[in-house]
Amino acid sequence: MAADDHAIVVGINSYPALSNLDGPENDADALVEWLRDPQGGDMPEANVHRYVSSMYANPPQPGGPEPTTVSICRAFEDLIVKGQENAEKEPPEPAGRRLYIFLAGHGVAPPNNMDDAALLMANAGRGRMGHYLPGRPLASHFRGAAYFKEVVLLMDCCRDRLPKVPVVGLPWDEVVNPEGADVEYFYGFATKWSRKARERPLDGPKMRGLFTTSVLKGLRAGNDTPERLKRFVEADLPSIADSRAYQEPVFDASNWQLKLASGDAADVPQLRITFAKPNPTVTVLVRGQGLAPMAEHAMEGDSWVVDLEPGYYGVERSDKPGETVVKVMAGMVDVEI
Amino acid sequence: MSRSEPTAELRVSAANPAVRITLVGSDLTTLKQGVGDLRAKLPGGIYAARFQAGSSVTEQIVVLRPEEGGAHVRQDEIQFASAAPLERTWTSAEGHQHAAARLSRSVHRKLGRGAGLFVFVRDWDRRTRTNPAVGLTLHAASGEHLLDFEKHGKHGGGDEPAWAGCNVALDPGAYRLRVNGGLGGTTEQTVVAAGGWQVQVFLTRRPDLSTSRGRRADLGGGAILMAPIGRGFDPERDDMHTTELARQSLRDHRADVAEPILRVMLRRKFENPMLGLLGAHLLLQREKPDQKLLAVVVRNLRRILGGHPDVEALDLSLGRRANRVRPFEVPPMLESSWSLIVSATADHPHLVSRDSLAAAAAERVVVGGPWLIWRPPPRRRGRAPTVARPALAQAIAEVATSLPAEAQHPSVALEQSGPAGDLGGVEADVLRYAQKLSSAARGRGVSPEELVDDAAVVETLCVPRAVAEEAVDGVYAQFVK
Repeated sequence: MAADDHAIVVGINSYPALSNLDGPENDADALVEWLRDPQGGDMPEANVHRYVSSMYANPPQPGGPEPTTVSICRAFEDLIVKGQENAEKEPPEPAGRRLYIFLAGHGVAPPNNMDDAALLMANAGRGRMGHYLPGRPLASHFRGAAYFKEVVLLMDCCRDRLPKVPVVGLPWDEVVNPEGADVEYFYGFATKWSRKARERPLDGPKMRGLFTTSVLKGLRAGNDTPERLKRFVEADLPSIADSRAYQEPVFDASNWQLKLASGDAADVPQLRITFAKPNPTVTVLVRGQGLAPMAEHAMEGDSWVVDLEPGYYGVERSDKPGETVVKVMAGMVDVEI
Repeated sequence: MSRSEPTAELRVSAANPAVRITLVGSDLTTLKQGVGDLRAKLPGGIYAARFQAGSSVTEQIVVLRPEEGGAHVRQDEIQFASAAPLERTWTSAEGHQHAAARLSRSVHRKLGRGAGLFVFVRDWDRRTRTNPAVGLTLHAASGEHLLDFEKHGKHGGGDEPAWAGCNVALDPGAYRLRVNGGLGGTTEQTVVAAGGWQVQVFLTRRPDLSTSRGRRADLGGGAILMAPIGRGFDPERDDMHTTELARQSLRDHRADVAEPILRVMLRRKFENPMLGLLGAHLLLQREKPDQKLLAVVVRNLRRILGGHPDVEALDLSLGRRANRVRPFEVPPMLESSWSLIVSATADHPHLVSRDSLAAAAAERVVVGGPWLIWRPPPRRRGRAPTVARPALAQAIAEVATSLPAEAQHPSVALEQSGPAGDLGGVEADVLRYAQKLSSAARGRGVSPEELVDDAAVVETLCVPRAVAEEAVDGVYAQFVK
């Protein structure tokens, strides 16, 4: 178990002074589920800290809409205190192995920083767009202080470039630890600078953020390094996005081979080829990269299931020219020949 | 020496030269990117060509066999989503197109003459069969209730998701379209009915989680088109298509609309003035807007639409005649027009008076764009007493100097620490501004007065000067003895 990992997971649906969203809280819950899953993050429940709008809805908060930067920063401060205490031990220890930061809700592009995204907090509104948490500085703070050996930041929010958004810093004193240079990181942003991130019904009628959905789908399908996950999400998003609501994700990592999941893939990509008219004298061939044969099987029985890596494949039969082309990403994909 | 792998040319082209193309290998690796047309020499294999136009994307898979020669993948058209049931949009439905076209040509309610407003609300799914126009009402600029769309319009659906439509004859002027209730609370926006034109407002109901309660039309995602009175809605018209693409570009703050496309939009304003309004704002988003072209567009739009707040706002951006522009009693239709007006009030406070709807709405704007949407302001309790104080910027500087020491650091949450506890809305924003000013002045070793001017105050608070003045009155009275 990843007993030393910690996660701060934020999903804001309710924005009284903006428009409400439907997906972030579902996304936060889905990520929490993966973090606790032995085949996923394999984290103890107590280390996963979830902050979502519905926690603050009943009773309504007397101080105004929550969560705000104050309440979320307080959650991070518990980890900072732990990091500071551990740093004073002899020998010094980090606060944990990995820190996950997940921020989902409305977002903006912080001024003068095309590389960052910021999560707007529940009390943001017109003229009050400074109520936000900037993602990269947040992650950088923990990297620079080397409170953790690894920092994973995922941000499922828009990166709208709005005029007049003020520059906002974090309220913490800068901590510089030379070991910070060795802290591994993996950052994932739902969309490019100045572009929108989208949500749509993806889990039955449940609204979900496209980015988080795709990231979790990729992780469960065994894409457990930043390099593989990036390739997966870039290829998967066009399939799950509205045709007019595509978003291009952005990834950044210090180590593209960092192992992200604890266990084996729970949702291995598989191709099930169903035989419309079985014929044992005919062979079915699956071709992959460079049209190289990957697997073959006689057309007997009703179907044949092949485990594959995510990608594009050709399925052809020995008695007919041409092939059926399929995109296999996660779970079972069906094709009939 | 090894024999090289046979290759062939894979050509990928899109009908629109602005479409971005990404070529992906069978293992999902990105191989090459280009715009409009792309060629690559590749070994045999399975490849995917991804076509992207704005936020639209589509993908084609191709098998390349060098022994059979090269391959050419062509992409004809990329469909997009729209609240209007336009042809060549993936969200259209035949029943919706027919209903909108038919209803837009017959008047269901006469409240005036000379101008028209057609409102069509629809669902994108069939989870509810209730009238989509529930909660949707029309009001005069004064707020007077004029029409309940649920009551006076027609609705149906049959095998397709539900729709509702209503065509109203109106006197030319500004009206308020309001959505009552719903998850996001009550919201409204301005709709300007211009003489000789029918404004066509298309809305969808926002999907809810698992319950149908609270589903209401979504003003923010609406499509607003215009057509000469009598022509009605034509789902196949190219200019309607282009208007929707322009609206979505403005919503996404895209400053990269190619100039030739922009010029076509602006030329077509005579048959569809909405295209002119959106095109002019897209022009303004460019790094160096063509001011001469903009001046011509504004002159023509004024001739076509008469007194229209969005046209007058565009005129303000030319910086020529703010003194002669009449005050804006109602907010404009577009958020980008509103920004122009707010900025202009710094030097010309008369543009938005404190007692106008525009000023009241300013404090309750819902951010999102491209339409300016606000939550209806509560009835005004009367003007707060005017405070004897210096001019706007100087007053805020004095507030910054007078803040208690413990409240001068920007990370202090004023709402929770006391000083802003009794303040709301713009007054709280004024206090935060003063707080940041105080911090910046200390950081630079200068006085707050040196870092602030009236224009900066208006820009930062995002409200007309009259609203900012009143808010500063309240804060000044509380903090400066």
